[in-house]
Amino acid sequence: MKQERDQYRDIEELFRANQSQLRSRAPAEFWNDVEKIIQTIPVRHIGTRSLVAAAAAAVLLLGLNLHILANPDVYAPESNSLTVEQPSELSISNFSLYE
Amino acid sequence: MSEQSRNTSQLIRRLQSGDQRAFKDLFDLYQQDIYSTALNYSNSPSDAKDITQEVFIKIFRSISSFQAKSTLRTWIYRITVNTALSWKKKHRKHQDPTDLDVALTHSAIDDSYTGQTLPDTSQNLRASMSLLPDNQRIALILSYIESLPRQEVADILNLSLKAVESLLMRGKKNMRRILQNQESKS
Repeated sequence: MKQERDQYRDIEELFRANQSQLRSRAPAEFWNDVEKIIQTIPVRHIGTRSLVAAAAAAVLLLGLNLHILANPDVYAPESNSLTVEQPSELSISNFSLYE
Repeated sequence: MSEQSRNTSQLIRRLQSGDQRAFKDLFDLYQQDIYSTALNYSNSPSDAKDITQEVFIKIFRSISSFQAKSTLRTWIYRITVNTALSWKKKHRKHQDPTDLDVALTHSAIDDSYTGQTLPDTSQNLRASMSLLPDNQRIALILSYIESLPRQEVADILNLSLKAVESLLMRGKKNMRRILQNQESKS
């Protein structure tokens, strides 16, 4: 692999020798053209939009919590939804480890 | 956090809050990277200006969705490469030869590559590169002209490190063929 890499060292050297010419800058006045176009595009503010979305979500959550607190019956599980039959005589004294 | 990455984070925040001056700072910081990539890819200053302009418009429009999953520079180079590729697709006047042999037969680059001698201008190098397949050309530009680390080139092109190494190898091999072909023609 190393041998294969060294095989093209001359091509790499070509790029290196011409790098400063190849890395050209755009003409100085070019920014003016770009700026004019950018000014016509409406700006979207991620910061503001995120804040608004986060605030809306917080208000909704708070509202839901208040509603739950004010109406516990609505959100409480129905009394017969889950019933566990209690053993009538469940006591530790019913078991013996030495039997 | 280094000074540079702190400055970049601040720049991103300013851009995302719509600070117009931040765009001028971004332009000053990255215009050379974008323009030279576009110029070396398209081999035409006017096309490079069009591509660069389009890249800045895309950055301006999508900076709000930039989530810093990659570095700002990687993101900008990725936009540049994608814009250059789609720009070429949109504007090409003729079908490019897919086979390098066909391209070499039709090439009319005036150059005199004589083994160890360097071509006289960067113009000749650009013209030679324009005969390469897109992926090889872009890998060479990013690695040997923009001097980006291999891993960053891989991130920009969404390829593995091994795939980038392989592209570079084939690119250099083809560049040599192109230059030797010019030498034999002269």
